[in-house]
Amino acid sequence: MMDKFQLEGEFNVEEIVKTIKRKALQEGCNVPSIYEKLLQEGVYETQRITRILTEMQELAKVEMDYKIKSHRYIVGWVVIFFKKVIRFMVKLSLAPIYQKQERFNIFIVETLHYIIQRLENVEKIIKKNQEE
Amino acid sequence: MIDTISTGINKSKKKPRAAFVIHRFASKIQQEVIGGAEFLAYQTAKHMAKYWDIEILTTCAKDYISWENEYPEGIEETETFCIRRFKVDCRRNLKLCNTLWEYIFNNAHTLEDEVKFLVAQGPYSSRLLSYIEKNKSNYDFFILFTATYCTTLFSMQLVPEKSFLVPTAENTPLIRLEVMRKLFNTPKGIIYLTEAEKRLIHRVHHNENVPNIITGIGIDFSNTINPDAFRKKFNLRRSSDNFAVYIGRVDSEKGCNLLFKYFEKYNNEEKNNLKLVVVGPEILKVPRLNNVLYLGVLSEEDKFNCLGAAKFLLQPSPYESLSIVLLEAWWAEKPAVVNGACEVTVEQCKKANAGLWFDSYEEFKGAINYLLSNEEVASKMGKSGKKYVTENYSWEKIEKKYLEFVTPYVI
Repeated sequence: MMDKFQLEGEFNVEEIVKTIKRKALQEGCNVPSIYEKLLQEGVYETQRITRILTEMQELAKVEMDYKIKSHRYIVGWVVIFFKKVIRFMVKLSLAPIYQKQERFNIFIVETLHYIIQRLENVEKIIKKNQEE
Repeated sequence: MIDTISTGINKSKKKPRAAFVIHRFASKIQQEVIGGAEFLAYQTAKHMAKYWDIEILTTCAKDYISWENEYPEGIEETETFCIRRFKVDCRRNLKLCNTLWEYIFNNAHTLEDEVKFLVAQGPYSSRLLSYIEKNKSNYDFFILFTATYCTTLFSMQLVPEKSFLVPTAENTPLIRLEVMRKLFNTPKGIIYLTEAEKRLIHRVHHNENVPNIITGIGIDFSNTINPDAFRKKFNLRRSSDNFAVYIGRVDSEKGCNLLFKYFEKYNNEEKNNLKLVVVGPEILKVPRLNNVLYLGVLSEEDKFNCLGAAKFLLQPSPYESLSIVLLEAWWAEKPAVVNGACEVTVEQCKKANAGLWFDSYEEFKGAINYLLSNEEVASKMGKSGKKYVTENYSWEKIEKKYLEFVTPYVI
């Protein structure tokens, strides 16, 4: 069935498209809203932020007690021993700085998580309002 | 003619020397290389040669997928400008290119990874870059075409102080790479094609401080359009063979997948015998359906005759920086139906008051049916399109814009 629109005087393509969209909606078509279009455009950024955040989360914790290894067969244990001694001594003086850095890292990651969650909530609210 | 006082260029003086850098280029643009940016560079060079001494610095590649060196290396003189071609270092390795893209898109990555991808995407020509580096002082300024190719990225690094960028940017993930942020913040000036393209780049890369101008492209299309000649040549009857036309590269990137899917569904539902005529190089296989007629690449004359005979143009591409075919359709006084996902073409339709757009199959069907059943409005839309093209896309205006923008940096 063809559509026939009554246009008086000058026509306007935006009005015509609005009428077509309205009709499509009445026919049950799920037309993407402006919000969805924006979301589609931003989807690359959102995906990227989420990926980066996952990586940041893994890096946030400053690991000081990592396992010390040596590839030398005979003197390996000596190397390991000295490395452990050096780490112990460094740790004494640097521990407060490491701890502060770790807390800072965790705060950053948590804040980013919080912002993304807030953003998702806002997006959900907009979507819900549009559906209503 | 543009007066010399307003443009600041004195004809008694030597013309400024300009280099246009582009990934591929052909002197017989319509027959050999089909692409929007290439066409834009060709037309701009042809028209600006009146004011500038232009050299095109490009590669020997012709095919944009393989970047095979098909043109001979060296200089080719045309009537209006000179083309200097350089060999591409290697063909595109599609597997490597796709692997790098997958990695970049799915992982946190470095700028170096992005550069590696752009080199793999090609066309990478070390000879072209080394020529620019050695001879940059011989040119007054460089105009670099298309942001997303490595020819532009690396040339910009060599001559940032005298580069103008014509990004021809489309709303794709590629434009969002971090490496693009620097590219868009480096040049002396940026020449956008549409308001929507400028908005996109400002939104993504926040380069509002870089001087810019919106030029568009000038048109010098054929004035003699003979729809009957087309119908006769391709055996279409005036009375029963109503058709819509798609013109351009037949490629999924250009929305052709969607077009064929929607058109097949439309034909099954409506049964009004509307045909789809497809014109352009076939990268994606055109479905061999009863109502789909594939004509391959046509001459300029046949193309305009085809537009004249068509009911309307279908332009399904979601990624455009400026749709030249839309301007061509309006020149032939035909309305258009475009993809609502493409901000640029939708904006063009609104400004020209000459096209409808769709965001779903139902809207696609609605737009087609509207144009078929409201012939008077469709015809008015076509006329409105022609008026818009004539008023906004004359070369005289575009030339003036280029001169006013570039000249202050040259003198």
